[in-house]
Amino acid sequence: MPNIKLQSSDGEVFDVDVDVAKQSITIKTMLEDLGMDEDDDEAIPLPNVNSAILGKVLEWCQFHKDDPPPPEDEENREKRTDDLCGFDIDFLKVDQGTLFELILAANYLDIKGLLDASCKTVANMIKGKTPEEIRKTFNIKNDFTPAEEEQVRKENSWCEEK
Amino acid sequence: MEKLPIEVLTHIMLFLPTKNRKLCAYVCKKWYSAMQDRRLSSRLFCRLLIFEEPEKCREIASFAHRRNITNLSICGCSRGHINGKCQITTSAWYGNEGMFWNTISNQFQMITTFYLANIGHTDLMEELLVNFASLFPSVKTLKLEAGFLFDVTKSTLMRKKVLSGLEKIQQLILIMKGESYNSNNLQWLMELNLNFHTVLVKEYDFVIWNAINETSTYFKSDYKSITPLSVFTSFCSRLGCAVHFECINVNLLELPEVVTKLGSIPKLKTKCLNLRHCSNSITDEKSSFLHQISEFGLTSLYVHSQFYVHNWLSKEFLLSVIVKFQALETIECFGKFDKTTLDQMFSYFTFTESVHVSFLQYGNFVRSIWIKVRFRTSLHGHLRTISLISKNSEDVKVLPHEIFYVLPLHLRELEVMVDKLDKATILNLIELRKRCPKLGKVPLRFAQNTVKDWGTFMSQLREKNETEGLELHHDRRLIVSPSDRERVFVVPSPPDEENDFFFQSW
Repeated sequence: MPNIKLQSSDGEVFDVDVDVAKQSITIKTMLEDLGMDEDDDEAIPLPNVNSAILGKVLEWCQFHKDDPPPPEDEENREKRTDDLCGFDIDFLKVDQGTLFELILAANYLDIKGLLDASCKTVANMIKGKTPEEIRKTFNIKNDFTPAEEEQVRKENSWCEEK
Repeated sequence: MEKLPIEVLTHIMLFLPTKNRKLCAYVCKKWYSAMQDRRLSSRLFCRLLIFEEPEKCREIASFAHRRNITNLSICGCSRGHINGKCQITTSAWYGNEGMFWNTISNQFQMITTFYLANIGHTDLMEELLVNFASLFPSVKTLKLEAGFLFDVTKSTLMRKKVLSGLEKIQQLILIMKGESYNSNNLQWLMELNLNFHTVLVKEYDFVIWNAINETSTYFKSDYKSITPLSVFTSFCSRLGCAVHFECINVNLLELPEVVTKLGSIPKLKTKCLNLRHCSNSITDEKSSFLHQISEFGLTSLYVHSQFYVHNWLSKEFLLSVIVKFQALETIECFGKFDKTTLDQMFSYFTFTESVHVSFLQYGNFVRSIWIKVRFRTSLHGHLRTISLISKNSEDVKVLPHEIFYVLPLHLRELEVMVDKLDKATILNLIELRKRCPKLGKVPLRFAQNTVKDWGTFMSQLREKNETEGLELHHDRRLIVSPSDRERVFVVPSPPDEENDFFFQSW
């Protein structure tokens, strides 16, 4: 199986199976559109991902390399968060900083499966919490004025779900 | 968290139910901004009360526009009703509805679904309905409480005028509630010579699709009432173009009349009875019932015998139905089953064409056991499908004996879903595949999280050359193989090493 080289923001080079790397649409596009091929010795630079996170991302990609392509999102369907596989659950048992770094990396590398899995993990952390509890969980500062808060309350009262 | 861009926050919120999303909007300005994404609005509708002041309408319209909310619900109730207190008031009490409608039509430019509820009659309402399509040109679906329509349109001439105005709307849904759901009002609708295409009497709903412009007229009765037979059958004379009839919840004592009426509809191609909520037992009426529905020429019959209804359905009866209706496309039956019944079912399948039977066994309440077995025969009478769905392997383990040993060689599809799946089960299923030549040609696919040490397990299988066709899959759904369109099975379950007894006895 041909390999390619990926270079993290801190300079570490990863030698990766092409099929594993191609789960990233960003990398796949680079390979296909920009004329890079598997025989290139030159490493593909990934300036937005450090080596620790890139290592994790590649671990995830390695495990999921035989997965079928993720289904297209259906806008009207309520998305589930309880369908993470055992590997993903364990894989995403990381500190918040790492989790958000993984989300950013998945977003940058355009790996839908990893992005969904990590976002589901965050969604599960949000579910059932009050705004104050959410702020506390993620260390967020409430920057609304009382008038703005009242506006949010009004808008929420104007709409319902079908 | 502060590093996450707004589009990623939006993506996270896509996984939250609306209630949680609303709370997220309070967290901080960034989260509020993330909530404004249009993808989060597809299932939302705006609610307006008919006595809202123009200024508020404008405010809400602006909000709806910003959030791309294209569904609008307007009702004439007080806020008390919305809170569940049912303090109903009518628009006539407020006297500003002219201004209200003008404001709405000017402000809401993009409504696609419009729901009018609990609004009383005034002259302006007549005008509104007659001019509705021009006032709200973007509306594709209009849901209307039929009582409102009946109250507003007192004369036949006006009714025709109103319906003519509403013809441009792609889907018209009339919801009949309470007193409006009566023979007179249905008679009124019949006078309008609507050209019905499909009739669906579903539990307490009455749905009629209009063939013209593929618009639909949807009648929904109040949940406290049941479609009166007189109302129901009076429609039959107007169903010349109807091609599909489906009825759920019919009083079996009234069935003969229903059958007689519907039997006269010339173009009816599909006729389905769903006896899930039968209001009386047919134990004593079996022969009459069978005779009637055979005369009717059913194409589908759904029979449910669930513990919360009553246990009137005997296996003998079920089997007699199957024998009687060999041409049925579908029979769906829920009930307990045992070896004798299964044996009988298998024997009938040898000549029954394309029958699909399901059993659902609840076992007892505590353990929530349910087993579903589905059979389907091909044109040649070969058993093609068996589905087992169980919540409890203890009870499922009897099934392999009863089913797989009488399995014809033509089994092509197999679906097994159990909570307590384990390696032994997988191995046994692999064995089953060997015994069923047709099944052996299609891959078996397992959820990757089925077994904790999947890699080692697969290596062991590889050593035995057992892995051909085995595929990892992260989803729990059935997979249709794109190459041969064969349905195969997915085993979606958390690992449980301690429950290795399932299928062990094969």
